[in-house]
Amino acid sequence: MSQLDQLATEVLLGTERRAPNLPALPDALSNLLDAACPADTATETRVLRAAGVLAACAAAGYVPPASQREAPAPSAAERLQPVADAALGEGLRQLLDAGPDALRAEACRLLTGAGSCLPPRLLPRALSLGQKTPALRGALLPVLGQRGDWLARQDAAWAWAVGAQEEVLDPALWEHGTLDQRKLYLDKLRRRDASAARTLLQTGFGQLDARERAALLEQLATGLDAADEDFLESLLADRSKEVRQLAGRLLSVLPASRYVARMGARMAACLAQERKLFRQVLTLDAPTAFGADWKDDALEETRAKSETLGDRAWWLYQIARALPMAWWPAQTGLTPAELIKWLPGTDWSEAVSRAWGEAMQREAAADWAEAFLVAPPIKGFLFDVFAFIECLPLAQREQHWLRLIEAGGRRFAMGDLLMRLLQNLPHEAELSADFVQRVLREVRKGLPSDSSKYDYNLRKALPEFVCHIPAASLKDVTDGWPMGRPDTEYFTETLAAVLAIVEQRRTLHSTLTQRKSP
Amino acid sequence: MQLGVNEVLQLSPDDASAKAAKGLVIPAKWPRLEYDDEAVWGECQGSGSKPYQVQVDKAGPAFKCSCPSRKFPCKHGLALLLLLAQHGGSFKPATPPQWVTEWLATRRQRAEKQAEKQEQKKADIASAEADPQAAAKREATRLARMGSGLDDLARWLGDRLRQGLATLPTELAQWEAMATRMVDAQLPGVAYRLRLICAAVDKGEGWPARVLSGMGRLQLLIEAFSRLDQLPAAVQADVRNALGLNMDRDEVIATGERVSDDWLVEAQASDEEGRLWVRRVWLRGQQSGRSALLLDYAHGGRRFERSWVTGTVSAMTLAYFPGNAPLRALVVGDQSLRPASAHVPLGFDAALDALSAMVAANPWQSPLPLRVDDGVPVRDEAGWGLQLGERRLPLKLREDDGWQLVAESGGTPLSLAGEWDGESLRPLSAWRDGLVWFEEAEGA
Repeated sequence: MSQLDQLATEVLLGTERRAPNLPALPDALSNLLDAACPADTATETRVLRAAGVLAACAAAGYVPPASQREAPAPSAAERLQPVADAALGEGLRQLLDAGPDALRAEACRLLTGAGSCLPPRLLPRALSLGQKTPALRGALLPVLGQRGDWLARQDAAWAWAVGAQEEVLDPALWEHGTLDQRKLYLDKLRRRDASAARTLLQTGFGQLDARERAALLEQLATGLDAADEDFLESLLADRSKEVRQLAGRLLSVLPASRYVARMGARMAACLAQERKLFRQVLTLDAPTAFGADWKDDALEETRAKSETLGDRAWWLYQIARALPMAWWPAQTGLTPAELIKWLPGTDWSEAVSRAWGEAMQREAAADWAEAFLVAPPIKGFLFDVFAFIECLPLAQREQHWLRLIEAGGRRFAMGDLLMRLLQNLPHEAELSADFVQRVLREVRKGLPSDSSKYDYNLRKALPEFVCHIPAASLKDVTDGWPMGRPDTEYFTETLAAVLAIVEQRRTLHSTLTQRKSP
Repeated sequence: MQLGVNEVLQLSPDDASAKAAKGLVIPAKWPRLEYDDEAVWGECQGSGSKPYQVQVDKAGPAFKCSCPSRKFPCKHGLALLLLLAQHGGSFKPATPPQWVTEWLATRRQRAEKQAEKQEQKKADIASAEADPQAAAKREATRLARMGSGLDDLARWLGDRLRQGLATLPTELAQWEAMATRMVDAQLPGVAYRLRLICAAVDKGEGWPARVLSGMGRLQLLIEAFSRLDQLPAAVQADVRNALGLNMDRDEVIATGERVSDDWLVEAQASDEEGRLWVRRVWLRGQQSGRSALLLDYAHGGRRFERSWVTGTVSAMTLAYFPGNAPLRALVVGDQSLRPASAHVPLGFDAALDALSAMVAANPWQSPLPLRVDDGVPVRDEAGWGLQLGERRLPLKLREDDGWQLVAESGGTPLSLAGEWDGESLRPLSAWRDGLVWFEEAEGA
């Protein structure tokens, strides 16, 4: 306890109630105080003077307190070259702070390629960014260097960067948490150990109420495999209709499941070969009666009041949607394109096309998506053209995007198109030079029109679009904008943002690819 | 001497301006980019039909732009300097157009007028004031008012002890009332101290000792004032300053101790207090080894007449305010940038000794400059600290800044320069072979 603390304790209750005892002081100080306080000095003044002297002396003689703790061992020597260039460092800081993600990922790739890593001062930003945006972790990890690894070990929030990507799961959340917390817990466990998650759910599943059963069962969709089949089969007899149907939907994802086999047999019974003139023709006829054991597979006999399909079509639709898309070519020997051409000729086009649409959403089958995109539209079948394009590998997407883009604003606004295009584009995806040129041509052409002026998504999408342009095509972006006219003035800011990204990318490429070459 | 990217960005009044300026670093947006020995200027295409005329006086640097922004410097001025740092080749030497020569001429005229005014003041002081009797009377009235205010304060402090420190947490309003009374008695320095002490009441373990030490220092101030005439002139100046009776700037320039040196801008702190911005620029003389504080205030926004770049060195002359350990100073005349010389590290013991000497010479001065060269910034349950062997100096840091310092240090010693408030060090800049970090002002 310091002398000031002692003195303060002495006057805590007030000198009126209790006369204070001044603490013993070193000779020099006590002589000074005696000299300053003649015998007739009031007690309060005496205490205040003592406090003043002690405070000034304590401040002048300050020494930091001893500490039992030790500083962490210094970081290991850096094997990579931390960025030293001030302009590049500032650019990287801006990127880490403001994005867009694709540009962040590109910067990290270029740094990695140049054998560089982030300068120390940017590491806290990079670690926090990875914490918030798991999609960037893969790109960030190689540019953190030894220093980043060292730093990440000092804050639990940055554990993702030190191999401890598996956060600790707290079982209490499962035992006592809310439904949302339990869902999240189950989802995380499922990603880590699929069978442990299933076992956990299976124990005591019957005691949950129907809503919880359905909500938790949905989490099994992640990492679904044959090991889940028995459990799901047992749920086809669940008390709740919702759970039964969900179990059916999950089983139809497993192509080798007994459930799919049963559905396949039912659908096969509806298909037949008929001889017409000189060739065999595939025919389709919906079931005439609801099978006795169908109910056991979560099929519904009565349709909803709002349902537009008739009874037989309704049954057919339910069977068809439970089948994987691959079942059809395997069963009929026809290609997806041939099947799409065949369907409208049957009487059951609406039921089956709806079922296909749902199965497509589930499976993202590229061969089918491609066939749908080039086929003439099937009457009554509206599909999400974007979702189908996204089923395709990157290289095949561009031609379909171009068709939509060059069709002009008739179906979709340019901004909406670009937003969709970007939405599911991986960070590192690079568009082809030709595609970029044609898109930019359309954008420039449309700029003076009102539809572009009110296309707010265009302003958001274009800067991001520029992140996916090949470096060699950046020159195509800078010039040729119809600016300096009243009808394109609204575009000034967007263009500035676009040009800023072009500039950033150029700086990145010129500083980081130079260094790589010997 | 030309400023680099990081140095230019330091001049930015806020983050938004820095970001906007970076967006303008595209030579194509600038139809004109030129320079001569004195200035750099350019025209930047804005949203209007006429481009903005942007110019920077290299001495300073000082900015002027024809855009309507209230920010200072505006994004165009910053962008012009960024362009110069990154795309120097885009600038052409040229004879300045009229709008540049006119501005430079006005600046020069203003500087001359300023110098004239100072000469005048010097002459005034030399020949004593126009009406010495009236001045003496004014001074006497003010001292009397201050004396009666301090008498009240002494009585009030005594009452607090009679009733006991334990009653303080229930009587916080009294402090504000007393502070207001002190402002009325023309004792703004005392009012400020009272509010600081009040803020420490009931805060954290050991608060009674902290509050009592604040009250004790006020007592010393009261007693120093009561025998002001008997004190040495330098201590008189310190007491007057602590009470809030500051010397006139012109008088300091005319009569203050002058030191010419290459001054390193070691640290800068900008804080907002209500609508008032306070900026403290800490300088260190490269030859004299002396510290200096440039204290400025700005109302409404963070807009100060002169901008300083941490890490740069300026050859200039300072005039110190008088005092027992002179610290606050004013710049006299022009300055010119010099290359920074290598820093000679100072052991922590030597830094503590220098600090002791400053406190001993003037116990009312706060904050004080402190530079520690051999500490390792650390973070644990006890908060931010600077590990110095087996001792730990508490650091006052924002979370983001703290991690940046830890990252920069990598567990090895890093030089930190900042402000010491008697309890903790607020780092304002970090050094390792040059500046590696500085505190950025919040908001603005």
